[in-house]
Amino acid sequence: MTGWNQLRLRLRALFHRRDFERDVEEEIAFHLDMREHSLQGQGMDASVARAAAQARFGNATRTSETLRELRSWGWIEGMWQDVRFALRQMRLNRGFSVAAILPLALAIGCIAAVFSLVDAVLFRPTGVADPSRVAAVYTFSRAQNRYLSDSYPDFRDIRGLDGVLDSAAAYIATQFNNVRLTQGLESMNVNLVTGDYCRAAGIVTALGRPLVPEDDRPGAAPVALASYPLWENRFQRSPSILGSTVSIGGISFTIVGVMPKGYQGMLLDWYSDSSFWVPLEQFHGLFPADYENRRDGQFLMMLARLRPGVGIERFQAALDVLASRVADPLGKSSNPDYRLLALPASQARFWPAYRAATVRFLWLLVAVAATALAIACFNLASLLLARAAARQQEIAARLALGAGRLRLVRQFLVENGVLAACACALSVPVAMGLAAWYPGVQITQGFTMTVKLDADWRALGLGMAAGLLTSILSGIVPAIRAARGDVVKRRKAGRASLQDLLSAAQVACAMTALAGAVLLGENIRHLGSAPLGYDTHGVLLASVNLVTGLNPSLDEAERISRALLAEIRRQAPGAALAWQALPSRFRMVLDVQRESDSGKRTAILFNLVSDGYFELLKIPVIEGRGIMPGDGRKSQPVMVLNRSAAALLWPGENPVGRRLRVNAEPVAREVVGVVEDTRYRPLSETQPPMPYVFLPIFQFTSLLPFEIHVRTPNEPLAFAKTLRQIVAQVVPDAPAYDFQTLDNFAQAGLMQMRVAAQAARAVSLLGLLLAVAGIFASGAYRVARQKKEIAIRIAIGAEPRRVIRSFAARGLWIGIAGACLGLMPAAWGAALLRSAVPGVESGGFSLYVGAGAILALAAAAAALAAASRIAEVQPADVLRVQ
Amino acid sequence: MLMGEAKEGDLLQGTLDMLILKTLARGAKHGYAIAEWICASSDDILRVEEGALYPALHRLELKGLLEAEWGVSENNRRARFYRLTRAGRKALATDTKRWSRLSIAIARVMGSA
Repeated sequence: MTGWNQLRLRLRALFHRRDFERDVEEEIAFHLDMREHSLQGQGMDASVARAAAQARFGNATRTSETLRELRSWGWIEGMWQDVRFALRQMRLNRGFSVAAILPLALAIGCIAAVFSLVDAVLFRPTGVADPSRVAAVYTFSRAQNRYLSDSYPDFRDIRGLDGVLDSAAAYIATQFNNVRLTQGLESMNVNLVTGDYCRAAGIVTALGRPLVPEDDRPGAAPVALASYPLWENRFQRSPSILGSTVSIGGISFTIVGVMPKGYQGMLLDWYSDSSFWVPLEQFHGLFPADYENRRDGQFLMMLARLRPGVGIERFQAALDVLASRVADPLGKSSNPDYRLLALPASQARFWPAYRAATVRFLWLLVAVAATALAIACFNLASLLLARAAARQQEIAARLALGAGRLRLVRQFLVENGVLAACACALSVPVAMGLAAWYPGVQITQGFTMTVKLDADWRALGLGMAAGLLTSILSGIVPAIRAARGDVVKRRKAGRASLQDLLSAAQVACAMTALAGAVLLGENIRHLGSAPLGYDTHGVLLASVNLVTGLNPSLDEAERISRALLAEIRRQAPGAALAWQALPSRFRMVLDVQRESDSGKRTAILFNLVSDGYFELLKIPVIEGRGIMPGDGRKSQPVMVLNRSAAALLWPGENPVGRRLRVNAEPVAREVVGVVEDTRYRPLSETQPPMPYVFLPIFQFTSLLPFEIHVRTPNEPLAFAKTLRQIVAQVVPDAPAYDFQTLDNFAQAGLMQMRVAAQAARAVSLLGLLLAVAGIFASGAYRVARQKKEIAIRIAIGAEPRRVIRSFAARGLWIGIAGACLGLMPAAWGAALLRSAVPGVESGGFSLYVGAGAILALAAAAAALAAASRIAEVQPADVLRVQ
Repeated sequence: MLMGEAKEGDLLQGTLDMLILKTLARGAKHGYAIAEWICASSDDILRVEEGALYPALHRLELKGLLEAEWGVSENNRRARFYRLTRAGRKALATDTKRWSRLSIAIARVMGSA
């Protein structure tokens, strides 16, 4: 009540300032008049009465001042004055304002965008409720040192654990290319989930009901949950979505509910922008035969919700006990290699293998953005110092008029704050622009990841706060200096000024970024030009998925695929099928064993290819033969090794004609040929020669999607339309998707590195530009200030060239000092790079010397350009004016 | 309300406020009249320092104990009249009670010496 009254009165005084002040004067005047009157009434003389009244009242001016202060807004009002003054200053010095604000806005925009990326990738809730009680479970192979998905028997065992779990669900995310909703065939991501999925993820549907265990029983009616975006975009959030049907993989599902807004599931880099969630049981046929009882069918992801009060350690202990009881993947003996690992939800946002690299990549981006911010702040501080010097007279006048130094410091800080605030406002479009550009960037090394970056004010706010704070901090020293009124006095010739130090610091930042950019650029060049061992040029890729499309039997699949290949070859003779295009991110392996031995099994990466594959990619067959058209389901199972696999399995011998057992296949495969080693892993990875095997695609015992490879004489993508038509004609329910050139596909792994390199390059350029501008400006200022001295030196016989050289030397020294200063952060940045990006070499001596030399020379050139004005100095003119 | 716990010792300030409230209990007055009334009713013993009177009035107004309004004075001039609000009346009642307790206590102490 009282507070409200005060606020009302204060506001009135604020908005009706004139009225209020007149009222105060009038009230006091009235009192004085009354007193004067009364004294006159008591017989006092008129002239004395006035003075007496005033004497009795005391200092009327001070009283009215007190009354005014009572309703003032204190420091806020002073601050407002300062802000208005600062805005006026900004308008008056447009060049200065732009030079200070623009780099700052860019830097703050960068850091805000990077923060929002970090937030989206690492921290933002993905929609799983109460994630601290949720864990993901992976199978871990000690021998292969890698994480694998889980098998159905594992899931069943874990679900049955006593007293640890509230609920557990298995799921598999995949893309269906034959979803029929309202219009023709579409490609959508779909999650196939077990009955407790909604319970384990803690889903409260936005509409309708969640999936329940009864939906996941054999014979249950097919029902589906739709995603919130799908509901929004396709049904305009109408409740009529409930009861609508959607056909996925040939099965007609009734939509019974809508997922909550923003639900992304647990894994962000695995088809996380899912459109539907359907019971796993409905797609029984998609999975390996008898998958419920096969521990080698490791294709499920797991999501477990712990009971309240149960920590992840206890869950892990229970898993350890469980794993020790489980026989090995082939069901022959107990397997010490086999472990089940529980990961807390916060660490299960990616495939575990990619997490560390992803986090390091994000750190790299943060470091780059922070460097940009540091450069912009040094620029700001240096500009503020220069301006303080230029405002010496104004400051001196204000000090003489009695302004307190603290008051002046405050005013300079407010000016600085206003600049920073303008930069913040301008940084919003920068951040938005960068954020809009991200989704095209491959964040993890695994599957592409969907990052939702729509209007993330949290991160934007954090970025701005960081920018505001650092920019205001960087204004403190210049403000104090300026208010001391001794900016100019302190600058004796020869002594390094604060401004020179700031320029050197900018050079140092530029050095760090430049070293990083050079290292990354080298690495990209090095990796990008690494010999692949096959010819990617002029090859078109397109994916086809018969599994989710038709779910045919293996015989049918062979017939359809052969028909498809034949049809494509009628238009383009160079065509082949392969399970995965190379270089591949997949790490699936086969367990192979020489038929002659009984013990040792080896895990080897593999690919499934059709006849014509080696010919199409021009991979040399060095022994025996490649895959032939006759290698099908009815013929003898065969395989082709690469040189390394041959050397590993039969060192020094010719393997052709030998036999290998593969996984649990009943018949051993005959090695029919050996091909040359090529690159199999993405370009972003270093790859030693590695064993690799090829199996005929029609002889594999489970169905996988495949890539059509077509070699075209012209631009590959021009053939995409024809290829799409051929596939639609042969298999109407399994449309081709993901058309791209093999060239692009092969280079895609370098995307992450390219982004980092571009960012580092841009930042080093920014740093260099600002440092050069700063050195030039301070040099020019020094020349202007020391004109008289220069004139005298020239007049008494100094050669102008020598004078110029002495001035330019200063710039060189700043550059050298900055480069030296930058050595340490540059080395540190290089170390960060080496850990974040595979393959980066430490730069070595030449890199630092080279980068340092470039920067020092640029600095010297800037100083020289500024000093060259000395040549225009006409001693006679200058001295005459003096 | 008028004399918060923190201001207990601030006798002078509090006393002036209390006297103002008391003065206005009979009806609205302008500043000069308040000063005169305090002076007169204390037989010229309490002379309000006029420079301090107006800040006190404005402070009380900000606290919501007084309301101010421009009106016409007895000699037909524009003057600012102050009036007690409901909160002001309440504060006056509390102050009066406290004051009488305090003055009795002081009288006892002084009498016992």
